[in-house]
Amino acid sequence: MNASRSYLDNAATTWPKPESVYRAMDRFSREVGANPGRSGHGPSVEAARVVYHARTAIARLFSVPDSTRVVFTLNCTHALNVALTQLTRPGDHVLTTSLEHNSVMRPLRHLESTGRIEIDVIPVSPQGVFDLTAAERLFRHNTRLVVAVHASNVTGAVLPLGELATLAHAAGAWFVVDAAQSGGTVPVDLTVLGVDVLCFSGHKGLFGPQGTGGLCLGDGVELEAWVRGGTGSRSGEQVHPSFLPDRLEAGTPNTPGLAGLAAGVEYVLNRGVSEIHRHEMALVERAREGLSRIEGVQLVPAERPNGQVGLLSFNLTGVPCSEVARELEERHGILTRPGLHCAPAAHQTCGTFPGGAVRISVSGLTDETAVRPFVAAVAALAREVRR
Amino acid sequence: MNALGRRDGKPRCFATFPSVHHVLAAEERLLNRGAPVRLVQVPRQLSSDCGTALEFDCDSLERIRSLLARAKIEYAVIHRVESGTARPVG
Repeated sequence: MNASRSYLDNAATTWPKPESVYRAMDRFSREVGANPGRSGHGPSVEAARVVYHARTAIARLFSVPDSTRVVFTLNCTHALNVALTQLTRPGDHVLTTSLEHNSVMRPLRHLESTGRIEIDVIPVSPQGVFDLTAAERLFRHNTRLVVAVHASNVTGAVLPLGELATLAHAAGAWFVVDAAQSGGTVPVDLTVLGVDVLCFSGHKGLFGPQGTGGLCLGDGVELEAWVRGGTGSRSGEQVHPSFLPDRLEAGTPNTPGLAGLAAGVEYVLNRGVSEIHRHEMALVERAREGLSRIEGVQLVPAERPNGQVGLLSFNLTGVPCSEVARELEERHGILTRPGLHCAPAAHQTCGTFPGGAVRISVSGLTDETAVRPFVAAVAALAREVRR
Repeated sequence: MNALGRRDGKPRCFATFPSVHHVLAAEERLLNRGAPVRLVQVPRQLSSDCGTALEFDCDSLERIRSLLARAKIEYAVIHRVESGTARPVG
C-alpha cells in the first residue's frame, strides 16, 4: 500500500499494525516455524508458547478467569456462527437487535429458514438506545438465546450490554455478544457484563493479522467440537479430547497469525483501552465537527450516539456514497468504505437502506493529522456538487 | 541419555498434563511461585502423548501438587522415576 494514502477503513481491518506485530510474525516465521505442541523439541515448545501467550493475553484483555476458555477461530463471524448454531435447539426463540451485522443476521436467518428457530428483533435506535420494557415483552417461554452487537459498525453506538444480559439471564437464555468493533477500544469484561459467549475479531482493534479471532466462554457454557483431529494431546486415543481448549481447536492453528495477535493485544494492554478510545474519539469528534459544518452533508445518525467507537458514517446530498468514496480515493488518496457495511439491518434502522453511507473509521494508530484533509476533501466535493 | 536416565541415583518426578496449554500454565505458575520445574519431552515410558511434561525434584512433590490444586490447573499423572523405573504417585 502507498504510505502516502490516508487509511480510514479501520473498522474493516486496522492498518497499520504496531511494529511489534510485524516483528512477532516475522520472528515466528523465520526463527521458530515449528508446529505448536506437536513435538517436544525446542521450536515446537516455543511455538506452543506463542499460542499460549496469545490465549492468556486475550484472557487478560477480556477478563476471562480461565484462559482455557478462550478458543481461537478463523474470525469473529466464524465464532458467532458456532455459538448461534450450537446454543440453539429446534423450536427455540432467539432475540437480537436492529443494529446487527450480517455475521449475526445471516446465521440467524439461515436457522430460521430451516424452521429451527424463530426470531424477534429488539428495536434499538441508531444511538444504541432501546426501551427495556418493550424488549422484555419480546421474551417468550422458549427464548433460548439473546445475541447483540456491542458496538455498531455503522453508527459506532455502544449498546448497554448489562441491561440485555440481565434480561436474558432472567429468562434463562444465553447471552452472546459480537465484540468485533469494541474489542481493544471499549472495556469488555466477560464476568462483569454477564456474557456467556463473547465473540471477538483479532484483526481490528486488537491489531492482529487477518484470519484471527475467537470466542470466550463464560462459566457453564459448553460447546461441542466442530472439527476433530490432531491436537498434540492424548495421541494414543482415536476419540477427540473433551477438555478445553483442545476440544475446540483441532489441526494446526494459525500460529504466525497468533504470534501477531499476541503482540497486538500486548500493545493494547500496555497502551490501555481507555487511552486508545480517547485517541479514536478525539479524531471522530474532529471529523464530526468538520462534517457538520459542510452544507449537504448528513451525518448517520444525525444525533451523536450515547457511547461510541471510532467510526462515523455520512452521506452527501445528491451523490451516491460509492461516488463519494471513489472521489475521495482517486483525488485525495483517502480510503473510506461506502455501502451497507454488511449490515442491512443497521442501515434500515438508520433510514439509509438500500443506499448506504460512507463510513470513516480510525484506530489507535491513525495519525492525528488524518482528519483535516479528509474534511477539506469532503468540503471541496460538496462545493462542486452545489455548483 | 533420555530424561529417565539423568541424575542417576536421585529420584525425579514428571507431571503430565491434558494439553500443552496446561503444561505451560503449570510451568508459568510454578516458576512464579519459586518451585523449580523443567519443561521436557514426555518420556515414552510414561505416556504415548507426543507433547511435553514438567520434571522436578521429588522432594517438591507435595508443594507442587498443592500449588497446582490452588491454581486449579489440572494434571494427568505425576510419575516418580527411580533407577529407570517409573511409578505413578498422583
